[in-house]
Amino acid sequence: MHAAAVENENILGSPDSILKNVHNFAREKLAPVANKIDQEGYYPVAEMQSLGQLGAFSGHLDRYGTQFDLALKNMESISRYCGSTGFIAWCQNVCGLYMEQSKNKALLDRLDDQAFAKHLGGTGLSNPMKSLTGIETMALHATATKGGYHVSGTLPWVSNIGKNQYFGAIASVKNQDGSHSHEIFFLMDIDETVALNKCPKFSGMEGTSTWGVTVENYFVGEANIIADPALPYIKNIRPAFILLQVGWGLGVIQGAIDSCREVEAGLGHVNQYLHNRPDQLEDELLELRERALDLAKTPYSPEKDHLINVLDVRAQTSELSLKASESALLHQGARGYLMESDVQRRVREAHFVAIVTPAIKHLRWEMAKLMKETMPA
Amino acid sequence: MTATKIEWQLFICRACGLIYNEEEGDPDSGLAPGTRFEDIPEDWECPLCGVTKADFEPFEKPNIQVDAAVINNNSNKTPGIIIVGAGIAGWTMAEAIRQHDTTTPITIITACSGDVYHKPELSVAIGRKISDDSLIKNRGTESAKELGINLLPNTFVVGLSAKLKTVRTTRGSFKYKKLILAQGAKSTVPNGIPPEMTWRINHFSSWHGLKEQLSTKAQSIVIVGAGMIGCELAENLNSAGHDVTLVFRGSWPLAKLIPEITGKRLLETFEAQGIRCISNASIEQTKVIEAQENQTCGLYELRLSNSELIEANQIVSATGLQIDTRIPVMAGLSCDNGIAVNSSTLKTEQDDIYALGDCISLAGESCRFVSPILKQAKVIAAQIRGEADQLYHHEQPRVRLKLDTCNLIMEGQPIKNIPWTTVNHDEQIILVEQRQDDRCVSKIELSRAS
Repeated sequence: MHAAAVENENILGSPDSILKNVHNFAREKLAPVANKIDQEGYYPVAEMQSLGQLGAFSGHLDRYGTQFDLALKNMESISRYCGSTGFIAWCQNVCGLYMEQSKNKALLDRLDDQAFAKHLGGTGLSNPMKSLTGIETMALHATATKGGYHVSGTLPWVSNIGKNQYFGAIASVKNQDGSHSHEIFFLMDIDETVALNKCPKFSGMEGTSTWGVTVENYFVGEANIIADPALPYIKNIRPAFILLQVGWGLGVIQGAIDSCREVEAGLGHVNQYLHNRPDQLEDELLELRERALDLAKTPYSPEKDHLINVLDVRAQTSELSLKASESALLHQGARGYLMESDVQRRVREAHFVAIVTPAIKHLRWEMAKLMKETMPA
Repeated sequence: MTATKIEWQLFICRACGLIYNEEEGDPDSGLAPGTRFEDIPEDWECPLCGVTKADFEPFEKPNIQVDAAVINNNSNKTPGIIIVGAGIAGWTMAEAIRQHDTTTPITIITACSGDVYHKPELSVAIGRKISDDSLIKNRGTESAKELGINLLPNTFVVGLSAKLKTVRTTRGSFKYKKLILAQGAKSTVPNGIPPEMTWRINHFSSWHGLKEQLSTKAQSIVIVGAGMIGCELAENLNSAGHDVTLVFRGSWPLAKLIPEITGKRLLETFEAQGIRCISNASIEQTKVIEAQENQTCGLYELRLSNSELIEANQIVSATGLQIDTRIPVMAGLSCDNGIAVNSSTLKTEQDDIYALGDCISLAGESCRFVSPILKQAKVIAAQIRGEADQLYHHEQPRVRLKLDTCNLIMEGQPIKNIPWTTVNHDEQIILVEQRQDDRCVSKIELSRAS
């Protein structure tokens, strides 16, 4: 076993016991507050911290054995009971990954607080990920200054953040003449100079502490740099960043299948006429999970085929989330149409799995781009 | 006073993508229809995400063309037969099925436009001045209508699950009852040349790109590889007035297929036409000397393995084909020079998946010619109908190179390590053959064009 995994085991127990503890916590402690999170916008900081102490957010880190399978399975357990918490679990996981892969000592010194959720950290990469593949323009701009950069601009929505928290962000650096120089990736500490703007109410994913972020001449020093220049770094972490989201989606799908089965005893005699029955969905989930766990063995593979495989798995996660959550609604009927029903919540969670960056349409666009043969212009 | 009417402009929110249309304004926040962007107060907020006016930028509506065939697709509801690829193999397959079965839903998924053309024509179309219209036999959408099938053009297959009988694509996932792989093979890109610097003439679109480039003026062209396509292209582009250099690894053209006596004659024929032939050489490095600007072609410099430097306006690679194994391997299909299929039934190792054309291998050998495809399609169509006794018998097709100055005909399958016997050798005709167990197994005839 990897030395770091051994260390992880010494602190937290074996991967199996971590999985069991995280699953039990999600079922017993998180599930009861899922509606409070969804309906009242309760930000489950205490629950996230408990999950972190159980080892839910450390497995994928190199420091703890690069066990991406563990991270995927933990996120699946969490979002099986609450998709909003599953999503911020992903934010927490990738923020830790940004910090660790930076190899920046100042950030590595802060890594354990992130890995065990003493602090919660978010990710503001939706805009840059779209920008770098040519879908939209970069929202944050930077200019070089003594000892670092000044960053200005607005990100419309960043999750799992709050005052005194932090998140990974990317800004495009301008030369003095206004021309584009390169990109920087940094950890933005949300101090008094950072304005958090209230977001409009979304149809789901309340409780994820999602804010608009505006900065003006925000100073980024050496201690907060994740990567400068950012592009080679992003290329390196991109498949891992996307693959981790799959764990969150798998839980939404599993939760939907649970809801189909929940009413089987009472409604099975009529539900047999529905398509996308729980057994069929379960087969698809099994196949998808197997593919994801296989890709989790080589999370940083630079191969183009690996990236396409990751995008394919991620797109399939969205498609199956939509299909399974709709099927759960049809299986449960009126019961699932109640506003406080898990099923109703999960339909909205599945919509988010499908539209959050990378959305289905972005994934398909990107796969088409990657599969096209390169020819002279 | 005459006011010049300025067209209404659009502005996009950089943060959330909302579009402000001057014509419509934003009445909810007090901007009447017709409010010009410049007249909006600085503290106005994006109605969707709340950023201010400074975060908006001018936006032009892109001109988007959606494929009608894609809109009409409904194959996900009724799994039928899915064919991957719309080259000769794909279309021939669809026709073969429709000859006996006009009701089973068929969907062709293809990375190209789906237009019907005859690929072998590409290597000679420029010199013979074959127009686009006569190359394209039928639009894909028309053929689809005629055959009553769904066509998904410009769609990549990204995943395949044999267990769930599902093909995943860049336009969604589709269930199948039977799947037929007819996706062909990809041209290899030789080491030493970045893909963006070299054409590979294996699709209409890339052929068309080269044709457009060559239409401006006579140019210098380096062709890498002297297999069948390389030889045909060399002669054809040379005859179109371009200055052609043929670079190849062997000691003579077609070195893997024909013996020295015929190879040397072919070499002489090429050189007599003014084609420069550089044998025993490969490309070490390629760089751009002059970038291409507007209609003017650029210039590349190639460093060869013999240290020679040559310049070219265009580089065409014809170093062979290989299949993309990602999808077949994912579906548990083994690949050996192509997707392995049963030599009689053309079924792959997975139930309900068949394959034909350039993407298959029969007993470890690929056979990338057009002529076996029709037979293969008929056998697969019969197998799918349940006529198990209709089997495929492979015969190595007779191959004739499309050259204007000589006739080169190859019959049978050349076998390594069997010596060639010269049957005839004169100024007009060279005839060689390979014999095994007192039987001619392969024969090559090279004659001057009359």
